[in-house]
Amino acid sequence: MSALTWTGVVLLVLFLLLAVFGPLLAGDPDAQTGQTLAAPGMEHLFGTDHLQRDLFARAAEGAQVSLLVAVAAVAFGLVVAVPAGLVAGYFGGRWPDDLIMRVLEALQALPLFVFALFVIGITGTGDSQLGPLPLTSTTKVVLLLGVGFIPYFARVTRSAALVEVQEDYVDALRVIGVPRWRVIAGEVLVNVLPPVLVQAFLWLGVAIFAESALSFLGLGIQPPRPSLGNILGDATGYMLLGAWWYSIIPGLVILVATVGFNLVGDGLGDALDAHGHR
Amino acid sequence: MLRYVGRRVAGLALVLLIVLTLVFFMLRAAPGGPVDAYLGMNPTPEKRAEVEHRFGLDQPIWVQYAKFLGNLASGDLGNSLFSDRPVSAVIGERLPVTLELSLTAFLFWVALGLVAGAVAARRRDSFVDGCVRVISVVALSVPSFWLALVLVVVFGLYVKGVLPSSGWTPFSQDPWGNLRGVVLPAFALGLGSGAIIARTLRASMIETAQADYVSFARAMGMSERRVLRQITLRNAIIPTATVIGLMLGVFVSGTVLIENVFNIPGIGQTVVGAFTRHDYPLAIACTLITASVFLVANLVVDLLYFVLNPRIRAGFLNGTAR
Repeated sequence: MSALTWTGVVLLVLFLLLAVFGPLLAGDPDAQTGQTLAAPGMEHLFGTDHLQRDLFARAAEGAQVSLLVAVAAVAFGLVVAVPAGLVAGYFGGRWPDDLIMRVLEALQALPLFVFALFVIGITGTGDSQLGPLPLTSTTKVVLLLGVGFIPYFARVTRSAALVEVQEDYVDALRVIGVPRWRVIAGEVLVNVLPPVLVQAFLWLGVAIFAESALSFLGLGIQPPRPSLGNILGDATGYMLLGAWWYSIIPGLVILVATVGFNLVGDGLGDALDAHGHR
Repeated sequence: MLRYVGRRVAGLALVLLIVLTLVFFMLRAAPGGPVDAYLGMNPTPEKRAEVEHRFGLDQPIWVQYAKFLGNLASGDLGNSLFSDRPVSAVIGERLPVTLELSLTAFLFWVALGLVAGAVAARRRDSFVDGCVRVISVVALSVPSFWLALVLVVVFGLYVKGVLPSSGWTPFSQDPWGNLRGVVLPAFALGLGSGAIIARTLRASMIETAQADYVSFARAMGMSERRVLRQITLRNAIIPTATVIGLMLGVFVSGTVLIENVFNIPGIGQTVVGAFTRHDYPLAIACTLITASVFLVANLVVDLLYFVLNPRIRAGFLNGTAR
């Protein structure tokens, strides 16, 4: 493993520790400390905000929310994209492939972030209904990001599957009478998964960024629930009053997460190449 | 070639129409129309009806849609529901600001990204290469809006008076002030894309340098300079061109964030307000502009392949490419 990958692992572990154990240690993110906009120190590691809340507790809670949203969005994207990509790759060049690819292209007609911005801007940030399902602003972000990821995941799955179906074992299985769907859902899926999961890992970083960007604009996770993005959004009003920590530190947490996911994802990709996949 | 371009332009127009139609109906299906946003809490029914009539919202939705399409075809985007000015005037005021910002960021970061990538690839595993790799991976992970916040804090609080950290000065008013004002937002807007360009060019140059035809050219006695210029760069630039095209898409979303942090009156700042206040005509116009920029950029990249890659060109001319 290279030094860069190790750095990534360290950063990622730091972020995960903050997201998983931080909220347990730091206590209530809404508790008032009695100090308005206090600078970071021994008492308040990350300082306090304009409502006298401890920013370490808020950043930890926000990191947890951001991580959960990212994981859920990527998982949703994978659940839809992997079957679609497998089918497209298995039937490479024939009509199911063409149909799936055209739909994916339509999804990519707008950049992911703009797409999410439009939908949330239109439907509003309040809770709404999708048929019988209640939709909170958080689930909305998860679904939108997940839908936005589908084309990318499906493409990776498809190109890996295209290579895989050329292998002799696929023909062999078909010849001995294994049904087509079992070949796709069994052997091909298992062999296609590694590169797809590496991509998914890289996109976790993208998801954390996209969520925080939406929340920053006030279109993502809604207060009082903290997210790294909406903390930064609140901070913009107090930047020039000298409260540098308010906007700098929660952003550093995002940076630690995105750099960590990128470096580890790169490392995983290199390891995969070295083993002759792809 | 011409037929291909024609087909792509027609496809582009179709996608635009679909996107606009979707936005048109979604805006109207969404809870809390412009009347609520315009009148505030609990308006009287009479007041409500009057405003709905003024905005043309009391007509059946199909009539509204037909009217919208007709006006669109004649280039009339309607009036903003809030400022009551023609949408085209609002856009005409704000689009140049966004374009200036994006173009500055684009030119600066494409140039820097290409140079950094090429230098790193030529001196693979050197100190310079190491720096480019580390800096670029951090740079591409930095959230642009946070970088913008950091710049505002640094230049607004600590290094005062060097560069303006908020607001916008029109070029016609004060050219020098305008140029100074664009520096920080353009820096924040393009950093991540510049890093991706550098990484892509580096990786594909290293890959091409290992190809047989490069060794062959060298064995034939071609100078190292010519190998680099005529063979390695030409082949390595193709994946990079794709990335540069995607960068425009990143900019479309990036300007929304950057303009909000730096308080710049461009399209990005307009679009958020237009959607949240349900200002239908303005929101539709912003969608039109945003989607067009993105789709046209993709088309230009695809056409660039013809220029950059003789194989694709040949494939199209003799009909082997799809």
